[in-house]
Amino acid sequence: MALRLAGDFDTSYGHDMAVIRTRGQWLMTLVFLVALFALPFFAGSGVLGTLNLIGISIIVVHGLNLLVGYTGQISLGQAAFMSVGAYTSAVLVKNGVSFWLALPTAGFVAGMVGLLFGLPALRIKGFYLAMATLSAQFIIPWFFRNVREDIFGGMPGLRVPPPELGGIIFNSQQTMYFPIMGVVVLCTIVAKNIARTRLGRAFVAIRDSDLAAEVLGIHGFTYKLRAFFLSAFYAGLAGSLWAHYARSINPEQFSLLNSVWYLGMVIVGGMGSALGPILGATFIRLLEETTIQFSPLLGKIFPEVQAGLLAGLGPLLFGLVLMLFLVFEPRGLAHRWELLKAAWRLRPFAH
Amino acid sequence: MKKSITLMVLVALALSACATPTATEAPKATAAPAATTAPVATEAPKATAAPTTPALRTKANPGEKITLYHYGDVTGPYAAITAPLVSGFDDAVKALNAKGGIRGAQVAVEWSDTGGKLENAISTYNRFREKKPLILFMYGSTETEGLKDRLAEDKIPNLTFGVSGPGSYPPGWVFAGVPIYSDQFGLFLDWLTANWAKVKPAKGQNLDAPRVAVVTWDTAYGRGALTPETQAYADKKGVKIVSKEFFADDANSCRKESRSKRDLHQHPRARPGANSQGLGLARCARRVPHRRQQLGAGSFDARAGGSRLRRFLWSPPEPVVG
Repeated sequence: MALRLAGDFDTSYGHDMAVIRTRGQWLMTLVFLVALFALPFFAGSGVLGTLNLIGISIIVVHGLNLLVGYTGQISLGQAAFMSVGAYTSAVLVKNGVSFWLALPTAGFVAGMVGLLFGLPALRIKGFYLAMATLSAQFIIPWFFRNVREDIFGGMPGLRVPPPELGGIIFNSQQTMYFPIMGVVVLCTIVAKNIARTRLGRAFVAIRDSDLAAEVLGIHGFTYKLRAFFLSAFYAGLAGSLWAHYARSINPEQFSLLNSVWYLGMVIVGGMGSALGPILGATFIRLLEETTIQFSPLLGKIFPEVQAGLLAGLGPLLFGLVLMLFLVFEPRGLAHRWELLKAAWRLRPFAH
Repeated sequence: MKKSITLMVLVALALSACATPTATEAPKATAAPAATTAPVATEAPKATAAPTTPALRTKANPGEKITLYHYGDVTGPYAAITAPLVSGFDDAVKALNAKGGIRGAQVAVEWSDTGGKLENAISTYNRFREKKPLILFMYGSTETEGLKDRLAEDKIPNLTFGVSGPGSYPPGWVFAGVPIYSDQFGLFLDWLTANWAKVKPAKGQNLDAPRVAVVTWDTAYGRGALTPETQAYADKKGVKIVSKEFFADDANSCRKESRSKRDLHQHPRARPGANSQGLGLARCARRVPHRRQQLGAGSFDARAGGSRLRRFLWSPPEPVVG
């Protein structure tokens, strides 16, 4: 029903360009959205908490995917840009600004900071650019830790109030689910469509060959800066949501390790695909959840072994699964999904 | 046109979804007390005045089990501290059960690793919360601070050993298992000033008051003792904090915040090595002149440093734990 059958031709350019083409696809999309937003009425806070964390990760990874997957620029500072959004939003809300205004402002401020750290992209690329963006991961947390402790709270950080709207306080997993998933849906739509615009095509051209792109009339530097802005903008939005979800932020929460994991999510999900960040963030987050829950279970099975030793098995398993995954499916889960869809279309034939 | 309609449908869907839970979620939202309110205090009169309060049971029902939930960083930067605590918790529960449990009820334990990440702590909290725990145990300052408001809203008492000031005050449903870090430092200063004549280093015989350097992590936890209150208390006791050395939780760097170089080189000093972590502490300790005048250790132990750290810190005179 959701797949296009033979003989179902496009009859207009609009139809040809559409993301959702058939009635079946429309129906499935609507059912999915209704199910997505109805979930809090049925699911427990444990499940919703995990989904909220996945949602925030998806937003960050969407941004990173625009930069890494589409434009081919490496960034190791995504968590730092997230912290800019988190602190911006926290400070604004603590000073009386509505969360709903602070949310886009946080994205914009993070975007501007991302723009600043994207400037070296004019001269350098590859590993050198990675090192340049790594500086964001040191400078920005240092800034929040040591500058204007009266505003940013220094090392202990800030306590952040939950969002409010018309008397509703978004202070539970159920209530926070709606703004988080709302932003996830919007960010996914925007990310999907950016890739289909002139901007997205310029990103891809730069990724494939920046010299060829310049010859075609694409001003590489400005487009790279736009990619940095968009990437950090997404991180800023996620940071704002994280701050009001966690209700307590400090520079420790936005470490280099987080940036590396976000990069890992892009790779595992599949670079240069709007579906990749969703699959990557979900896979890694669930894997982490599973390993966390798996370790105490092992402790019950082998009670004579020390708890600390068993807990170490969690990250070990985590690393092993990731390694195997990268060896056997380096193009990411999104590619695997495409293969599955193709196999379904062609059944019962293999090719 | 179709795009506009799609967008409108999506927005309407999202708004309607946002609006619907108002009725169901409202009690939760309105019931949420601010962190500044002290639920314990407000409930106290109920216990004294309510004749309906159920009598305390003196004996557990047959087969009754009490589950204790605890979680902390067993694989992250604070693993050196938390992992032994988790093992100790298990041992303590085994010993308790061997003695018959709590009034006949056996005690069970469920624990989880957070890896030092707040998102894992929140996730674990959500999971444990659904099991309606009598009490939770935590070990991390960041986790305690992050979950403080949620604990108050859900009215779940929490015994924490991550006892930073922001996590413990204003009072709520978080209870400190040990004195908070600033109090620990204050107690150390009390002890130091009271015993200064006895522990005064050989090179500092001309000093009337001790001078202190602090070596600690550059994290919320590590800086937990370095509050304006402890600084004021040190000033009041006549103790000068001449240097603060911070090392990152990756134990590879060391950063100095000293009052003046002159202070460091002219006078011997006592140094509380707060919240130690092996190599990082050893590296920072190496940078403090007259380092063999160690007088205090942190709130937890300095075992993480192993023999290398002990060679630095615990050469004569023998350390005294503050």
